[in-house]
Amino acid sequence: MIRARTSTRVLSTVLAVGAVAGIGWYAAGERSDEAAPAGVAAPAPVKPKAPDPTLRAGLLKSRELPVERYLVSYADATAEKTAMLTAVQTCMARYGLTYEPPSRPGEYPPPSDNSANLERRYGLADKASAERWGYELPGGDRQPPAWERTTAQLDAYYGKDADGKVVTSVNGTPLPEGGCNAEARERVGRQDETAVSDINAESFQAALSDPAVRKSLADWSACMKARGYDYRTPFEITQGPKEEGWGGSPEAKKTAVAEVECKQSTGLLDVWFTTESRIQERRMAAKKPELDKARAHNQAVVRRSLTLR
Amino acid sequence: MAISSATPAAADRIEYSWDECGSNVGACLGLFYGGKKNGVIYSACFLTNRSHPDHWGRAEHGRTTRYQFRNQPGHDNIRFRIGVDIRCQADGWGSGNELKNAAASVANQDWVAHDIFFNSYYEGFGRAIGQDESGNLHEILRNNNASSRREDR
Repeated sequence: MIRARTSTRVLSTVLAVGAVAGIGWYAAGERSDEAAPAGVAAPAPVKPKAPDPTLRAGLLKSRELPVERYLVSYADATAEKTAMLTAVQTCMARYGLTYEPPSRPGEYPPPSDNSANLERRYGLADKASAERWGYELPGGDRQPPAWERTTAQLDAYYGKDADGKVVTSVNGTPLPEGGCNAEARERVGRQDETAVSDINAESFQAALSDPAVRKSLADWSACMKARGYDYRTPFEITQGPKEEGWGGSPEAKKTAVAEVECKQSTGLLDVWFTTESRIQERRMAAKKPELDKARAHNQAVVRRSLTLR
Repeated sequence: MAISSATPAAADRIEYSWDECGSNVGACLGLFYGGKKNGVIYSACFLTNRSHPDHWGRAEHGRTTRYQFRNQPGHDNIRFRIGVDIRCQADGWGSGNELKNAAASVANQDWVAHDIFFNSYYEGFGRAIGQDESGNLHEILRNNNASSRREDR
């Protein structure tokens, strides 16, 4: 079954509208070029787009794997991270410590909305992207800056020093067991996707050895062979030593386009996606109470997070 | 298919790296050769605070860097603050082994997540290791860690 991706499962998006000021960044997604008036704090300079919950291009356009209905979305993960940061900062302040990371949660969105990694789960799937980026990440690999917290911050955050000894107080003030991290976690909670993530992993492995997928992979391999490439699966392309920057080289782009064109002509991704979806539906049905319980828990964590941020 | 122009030359100078992090306070992801048991991880590790499209290593300008679990003798162990007891041992189990497809457990003391992938260039199944998480890699990724992406998740 082909299922279209929706954004309705992103709980924080629904709850945020009109309820909490200033958290609609993932909907706005634009950089502000307006200069702040003198004496007024400048707005946050960058509001990049969060990953789109719906694939907008390529051979898997608008599709969603069944596990994605339960996997934690980026928006919901960001809601939890933001609440954690606020709670940690509140705790740190009791010890006279600041805790300011170099970027806020949500400022460096990853390429995928959730850990299904549909964008690259079966290798490349978008010809236009393959032509432009090859195997490099579209837009480049934007990472959050490194952050060297001070020893005092780490002692208070973890409640443990660099030698592993428990820290019971900072500046004479008693520290909760596990430090500010544990205190904040107690307040916020943690979204749990263990059960669905296991299905996500198992189905990936099961689909790889499914006869229909193997037959289609052989068709794809034959198509690639006719173009002068010798690969049994798309995953073999990126294997082996590569020069730095290989992914964006003309040679890699040419291979990337061939990979996607052969997927299109053989229908490989239709077979692979449909087979894995069927595997997931079967396993999810067997674990439905567990999955629903985890989702209810996760929704509660997000609701609480939105009130704490 | 020939990809010789993109393949490091055989005459490249080869170096080995276990620390792609350079943090003074251990603000790194640790990939460990050994598994986690009863909350404890003791083994050689590979440290990083960046993305790696291939855990094999990297090659540039005639210089090849292979990634390994820590194999520098005589150095102090690195103790993580997360978990029950996690130590990256200088001469620990797995020291000198190549990183790619050989990690069993992970500990993330970086302040952002690292996604570990089944295939190079962030392809296939991946699992995000969030800040302060530690544990054994999923069975599919155990000895199948091919790439990792540092990300704000």
